[in-house]
Amino acid sequence: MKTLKYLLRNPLSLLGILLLLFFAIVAILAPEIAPVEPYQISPYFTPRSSFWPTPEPMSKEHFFGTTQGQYDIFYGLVWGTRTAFKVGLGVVFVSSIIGVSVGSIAAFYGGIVDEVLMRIVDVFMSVPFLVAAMVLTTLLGKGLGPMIIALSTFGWMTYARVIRSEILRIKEMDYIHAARTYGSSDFLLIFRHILPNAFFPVLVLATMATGSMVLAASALSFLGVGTEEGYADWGQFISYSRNWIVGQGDQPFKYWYTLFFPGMAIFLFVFSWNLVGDALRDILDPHIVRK
Amino acid sequence: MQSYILRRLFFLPIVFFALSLMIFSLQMLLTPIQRLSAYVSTISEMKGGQEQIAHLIKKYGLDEPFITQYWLWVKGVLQGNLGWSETARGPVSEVLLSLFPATAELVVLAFIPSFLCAIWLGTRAGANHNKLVDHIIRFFTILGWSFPTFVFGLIMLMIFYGFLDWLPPGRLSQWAMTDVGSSDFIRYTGANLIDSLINWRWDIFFDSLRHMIAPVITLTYVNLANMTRLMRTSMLETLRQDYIRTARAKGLSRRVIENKHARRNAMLPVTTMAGMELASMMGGVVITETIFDYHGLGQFAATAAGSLDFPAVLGFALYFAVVLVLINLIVDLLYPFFDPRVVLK
Amino acid sequence: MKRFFSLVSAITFMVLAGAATAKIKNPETLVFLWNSNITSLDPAYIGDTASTYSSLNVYSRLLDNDGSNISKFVPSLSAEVPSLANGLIKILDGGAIQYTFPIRDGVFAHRVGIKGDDGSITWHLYDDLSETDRAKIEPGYGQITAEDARYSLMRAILQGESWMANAVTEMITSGIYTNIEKWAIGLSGAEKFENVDAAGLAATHAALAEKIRTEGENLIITLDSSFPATLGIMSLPFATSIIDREWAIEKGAWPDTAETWLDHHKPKLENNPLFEVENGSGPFMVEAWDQAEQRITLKRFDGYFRDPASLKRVVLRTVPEWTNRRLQLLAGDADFAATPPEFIEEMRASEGVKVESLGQVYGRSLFFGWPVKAEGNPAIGSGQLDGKGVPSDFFANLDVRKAFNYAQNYDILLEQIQQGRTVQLRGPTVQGLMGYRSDSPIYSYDPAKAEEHFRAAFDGQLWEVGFEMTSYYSEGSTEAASSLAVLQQSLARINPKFRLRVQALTRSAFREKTYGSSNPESPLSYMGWGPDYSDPGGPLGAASYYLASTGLVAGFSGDGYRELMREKFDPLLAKAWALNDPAVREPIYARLQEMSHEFATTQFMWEAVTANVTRDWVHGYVHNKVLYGAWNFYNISKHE
Repeated sequence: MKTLKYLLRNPLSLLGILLLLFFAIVAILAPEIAPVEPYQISPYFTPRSSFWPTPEPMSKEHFFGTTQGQYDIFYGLVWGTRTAFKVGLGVVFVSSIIGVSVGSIAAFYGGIVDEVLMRIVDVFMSVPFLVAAMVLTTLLGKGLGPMIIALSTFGWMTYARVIRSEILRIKEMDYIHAARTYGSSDFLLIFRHILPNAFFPVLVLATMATGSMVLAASALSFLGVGTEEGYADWGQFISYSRNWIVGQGDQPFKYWYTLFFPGMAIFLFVFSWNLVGDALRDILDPHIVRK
Repeated sequence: MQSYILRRLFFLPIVFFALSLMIFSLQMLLTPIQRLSAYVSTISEMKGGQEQIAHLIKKYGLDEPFITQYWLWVKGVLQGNLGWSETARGPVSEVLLSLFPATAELVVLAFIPSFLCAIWLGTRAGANHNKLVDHIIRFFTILGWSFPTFVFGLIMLMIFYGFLDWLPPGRLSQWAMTDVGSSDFIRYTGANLIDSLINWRWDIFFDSLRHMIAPVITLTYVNLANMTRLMRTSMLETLRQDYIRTARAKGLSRRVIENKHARRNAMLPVTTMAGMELASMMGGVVITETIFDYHGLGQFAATAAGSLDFPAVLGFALYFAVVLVLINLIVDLLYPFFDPRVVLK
Repeated sequence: MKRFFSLVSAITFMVLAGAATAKIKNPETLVFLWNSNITSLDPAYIGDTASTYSSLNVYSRLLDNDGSNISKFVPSLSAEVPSLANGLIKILDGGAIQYTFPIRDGVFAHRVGIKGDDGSITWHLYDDLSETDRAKIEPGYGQITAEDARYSLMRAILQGESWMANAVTEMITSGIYTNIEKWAIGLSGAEKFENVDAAGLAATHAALAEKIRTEGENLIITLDSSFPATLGIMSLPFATSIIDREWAIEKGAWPDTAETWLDHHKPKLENNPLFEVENGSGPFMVEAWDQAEQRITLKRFDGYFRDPASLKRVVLRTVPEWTNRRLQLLAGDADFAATPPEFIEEMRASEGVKVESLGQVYGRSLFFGWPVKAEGNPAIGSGQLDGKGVPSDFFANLDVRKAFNYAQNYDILLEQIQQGRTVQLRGPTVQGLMGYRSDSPIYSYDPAKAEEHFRAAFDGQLWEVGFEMTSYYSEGSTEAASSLAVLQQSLARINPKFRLRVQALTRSAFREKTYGSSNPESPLSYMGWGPDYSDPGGPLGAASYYLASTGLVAGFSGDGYRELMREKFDPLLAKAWALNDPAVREPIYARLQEMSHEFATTQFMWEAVTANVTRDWVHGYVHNKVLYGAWNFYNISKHE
């Protein structure tokens, strides 16, 4: 389609897509790239070669070195790619479903339904996000599931607003009026005409959010609520680097690798989703000249 | 105008009610022993055995039915009492009042440069769409955004405090704290910058400023990205408008077009978001506060959330709702000044 | 480029070096950075170590520990240490024991009362008064007398809030009643404490008043039978701290009458009138307690009955971020920084920093629970021996317990996790306590023996099908996570079908899994417990904590554990507690330690060791294990 061709032609969005492809391949091939040790309880719990507290530098056994407690950074990053996709796509999926449903119903029915639903959206938006997410994860316990629940519970509002304003805008458009005049049912209207066009901004939002959800997850890990100890999650690994950023005495950046590698992974992931999202938004903008 | 304001403010109690109900019901997901969390900070309480635990549950009414507990809390709030925060060892309202000036100082000081920088960078990026400047600015801001705050903060701390000893953490140096605590120094607002000026203590003023530079820089850098990106997009859209084309056709220079015409109009959506950012920062910036040992609302709220100190969490949520509604109201009221076409319904 | 970088690094090195060897900042103030918080200033209310940082320094007690010795005492508010030799301990007819504490003369509290011309008493800081004003001090108002001591003890017992206060009750009743409510129930015959009538309450007060009374300047305590840990309890910085009676009453505390004690029984933190005010006689006063900033400032009390302290101020600040604490310590802005165990060695190697290892009286162990809650318990999986779970009485099986103990790799624990700082825990008693023998049997890492016991358990079925279960620890401790991870790995290496999950829980959730009901939910938990006085017997002693059926550990270990304790351990414990001669008691406690190994009651891992990480200009810390590392700031000074 035209969209895809534009995405591939534009150098920046191409970069974004390639990066995403790279991450996807790493995620799929994780068991080959970072094989699971026999005594591991689950592949997502990073193996520890020993139990010394201080991180070890990069070596043949540990390509990216180890973080505190001797968790292998390379393994954590490789399997963490899966976690990143799970978190990003999971949260976006759940929140967009909730948000789009709420927003469409509000936009379509209007009147009192619209008022009530939008007030509910407002109430959720007045919740201090980090605090609420912390309370929820403290309640539900640590782990991927609780984190996804917490992030989606307080992240769906923007989708609702966006889809609602888009639907309201399109509803008034001529071609919808035209469709109505020759007897299109409401249901058909929504699904065949309105939603597909209203959906594009949501898509843009979703691609950006996929990246930013990983950031939010890492903030939660930093605050102590997030995935379990040793879980292969980039945010978890970055929070391990916390005490080692200030190196030792006269070697300030001695443990740079504990920060650099997980940090790079997160940055590139967020960056690539951003590039793709920006490109999608450019497609959406009717004023941009496309060559 | 008045009715508009009133109507918006009328929304507040509804928010309070819904919010508090929501958070309170979360509490009901827990068993009474888990709700004990906030009241018992160390595990040595277990030395008292089951008896001690049962006694504490009873004392704080943690096994009372939901309605009873909620009603008690509501009653208290209506009388102006937000309850007692176990984690902060004080009444919630007092804690909020004493921590608010600290956070407000920091946030306002960080917001202004952040906003101005975002406008400037966004303008430059939008005006040079897809050129090198644009790419650099986008890269730079996304880097700041995806760089975990604590990393930037810790590196700042290491370089500017660990190595150079220029910018120490905390709010004041030890000698300043002693002076501020003494009876010669009168507290008016709780904000060190303001109070020190009123008391005509320039040394404390500069000491306080010195302590705030590092967290302010951290906050500024990390918050730039969103606003810059929005400004950029908004600038892009504005520059495609017909009236800009007309201005170009009339022969106005690029600089004049960008700075005098496009920028002001592009700023509108950014102002809305800026308001949201400010409000969100007023909710405390927990990571920055933790890293720099700056005791503010963020740290308080995070500790309360982690210990499930519900009176504190509820009180904080109410405070945040007030801030959000007020700031949004102010932004909406300012809108007509920016865009005369906007009519407040 | 290279020259530029070397110039920059040279400058930074110089500045850094300069910073490290800076002159002493804040020479008269000790800046103490930690990650805890004080609960209350009321010594009778508190039960945690963090709060003792204030009560230890702000209030005085009748006795103090002699330096680092946990079983010898020196006089404090009591002019002499009671003993049989000096006649201050008397054994009365019928077996009762009477302790006489002669209260020292001329001891003032931080605030004293002066009678104004209108007859009302106003309170002033003793330090701020001139000589002439001091002569006008109303007797008893701010002067510590035997009445103050009596009041303080009675108040603590009647308030009955913390388990430490209840320990005093237990002492007073020679172990019969563990708290005042039980005493009231016992005396009045009521079913529950709420049903005790006014007469019963008055009777309880009378019974207590009989046991604690004054005679002139002496405080007399009478116990119905011997309770060897009495002097130890008197020197602990909790409920036995002495408050000024007149001041407390004026502040709204218990008015010292029989009718009113119920109103002041078990108050909420915020309703306690002594929550944020103090009037002790210790070497420091509380100058300010800023709860929002989490900072408490202590100021030297010049009117202390001994020489004033060397430090003028002590500031305790809560700083949650370790790197921040570390940088402040290295910069000299702080004199003490609470250090996570992983960084102790690094701090030892840092310039200008002094690290002192402190042995503790507690150890860290993995505690077995049996039976655990059977229904709806995620920790035991399927609840059957089918490879997907464990039966609820899994650890009832001695072979299983022994196998687990052989499966733990103690060498890794001691070398890598504890970095060689401590020794393996041999049982409930650590070195220095009665009953400790350095050659008592312990488990070592022996996969072969572990396999042997695993095969023997459940007639070989366990080895065939394997198991899956979850162990818990309270989050925030890397040692906990690591020690359980070591066990997890070893078990998986012994038999890949042995799957031990490790889960971190918030403190409240953890408490629920262990103490939620009479049988715990958690089959295997990481914890650490230690005694509160040196005697291993008695309710707060090491042996009782671990091995009595009514002890602390039994409380969270399940009916099966309690049954085992009742059968095998209680008789010996009772025997040893009833005796007086240490020469006869010691072998019994040693035998109990051995039995804990024989029956594999717990997986004992290591003796806890903490460390004081300070700047090298801080001197004078004396470690007494029974204080769990709390600092007594009286002897601390800052100099090169």
